[in-house]
Amino acid sequence: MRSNKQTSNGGILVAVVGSMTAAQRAQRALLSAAIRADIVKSDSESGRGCSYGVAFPASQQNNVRTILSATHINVRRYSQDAWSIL
Amino acid sequence: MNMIYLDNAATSFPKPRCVYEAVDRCICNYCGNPGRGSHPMALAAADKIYECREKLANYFHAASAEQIVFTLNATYALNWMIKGLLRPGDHVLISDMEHNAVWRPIERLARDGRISYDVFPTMVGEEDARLARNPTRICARIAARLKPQTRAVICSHQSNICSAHLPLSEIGAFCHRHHLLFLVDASQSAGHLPIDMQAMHIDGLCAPGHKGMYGIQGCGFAVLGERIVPDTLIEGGSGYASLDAAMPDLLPERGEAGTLPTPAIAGLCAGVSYLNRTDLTDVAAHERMLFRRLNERLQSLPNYHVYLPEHEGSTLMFHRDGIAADKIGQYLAHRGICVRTGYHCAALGHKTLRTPDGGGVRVSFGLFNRPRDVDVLYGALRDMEREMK
Repeated sequence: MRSNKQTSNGGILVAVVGSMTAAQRAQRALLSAAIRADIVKSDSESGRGCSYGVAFPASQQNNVRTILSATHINVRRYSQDAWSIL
Repeated sequence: MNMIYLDNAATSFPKPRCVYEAVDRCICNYCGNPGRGSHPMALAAADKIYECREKLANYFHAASAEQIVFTLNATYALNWMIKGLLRPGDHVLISDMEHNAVWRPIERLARDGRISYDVFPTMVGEEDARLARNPTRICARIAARLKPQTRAVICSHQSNICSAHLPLSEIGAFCHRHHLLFLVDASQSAGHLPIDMQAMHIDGLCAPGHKGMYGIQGCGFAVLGERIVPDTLIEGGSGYASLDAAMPDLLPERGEAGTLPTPAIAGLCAGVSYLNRTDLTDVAAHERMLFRRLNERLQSLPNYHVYLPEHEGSTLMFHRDGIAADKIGQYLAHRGICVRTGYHCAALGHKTLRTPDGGGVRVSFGLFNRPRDVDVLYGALRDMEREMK
């Protein structure tokens, strides 16, 4: 089992966005704002089968919401992630 | 025997070294299934594909990387666009120089009674060839064939049997004014001529990866404008929303059922990078120089006819009175000279240019051809003439 490496402020969140391409666009948008983001599978969170999301430090949640909204990336939900390691 | 390759309109050869290296790196190091898993190999493959989308979007001035949809080849992309966008009752206009990749799917839809279409002339034989460069005349010919139910104009940027090309900017502006979809087959122009999707009001552009873009065979692509999402041509795995019975709505996955050819896309990505380092004006000038050199030599031979010699560019077609094109191709092949003969999957174009039975001999240049290649071809034709006496 992978360990959950907690960040200094509340662990890791995942923005569930759907396709791999949408996740890549989200990742690039966050990286360009110097926010570390990893692409993860989020099948269990989507309700529609296979899905991708970007995992990011929970401390950046407000910034991430602002950036993804500004880049018109449709986030289906934000969820806690106990498995990702950033 | 040294080979002289003059069939770049079919597929370019050789490729820039960086393309071979990119394909090799992909196959050897990161050829996981893109958009399916989240392990390092799958993510690395997906990353390369997204990089290629971004480069193509920049290259053709598309709105975003998501507007790039990878397909098997340009024919597949055109079929997807045509069959996925046209609705029962639509009327379509295509040019008289279209490749079968446009003509056949349109003809099929018309035969099934779903659509109707008309062909607009771009030239009326060789004597009128200069008019093909007159954008106003071409738009007038399109306008004369408009019907209330006309929905789209579909045309190739450059013919695959000669170097005549259509004025995309003017046709695009015309379509924009008349609220028509403008779909372009850029199979022969991508990588040879500048294309700006937005400035030219192009709604959908289709091209192969393995011709002027210098990728390898195995992938083509469609570049979509923001106002179109074609219906699916095939359905299958897309890597997400897999519990849904229908294909997802989002681009590009909606048009990309099944595993993408990552090595071919990696090669295409390197090809685009190579083109970005190359001045297209220089490419076009180089190809025109080779065209002119061959044209001058062929004009000096009796019984040889060059089609549209005033349209200098990457492709030159000729015929020789009294000798079928395939026999000339066979003779040249024995000398290691690669050209393509026949009708080039372009029934409309050959009819327009009034080629004789058996079609013509097509010589198509690429970045890596040299004047010497033209001279060797000319020498071989002179030898053939001597041997016939």
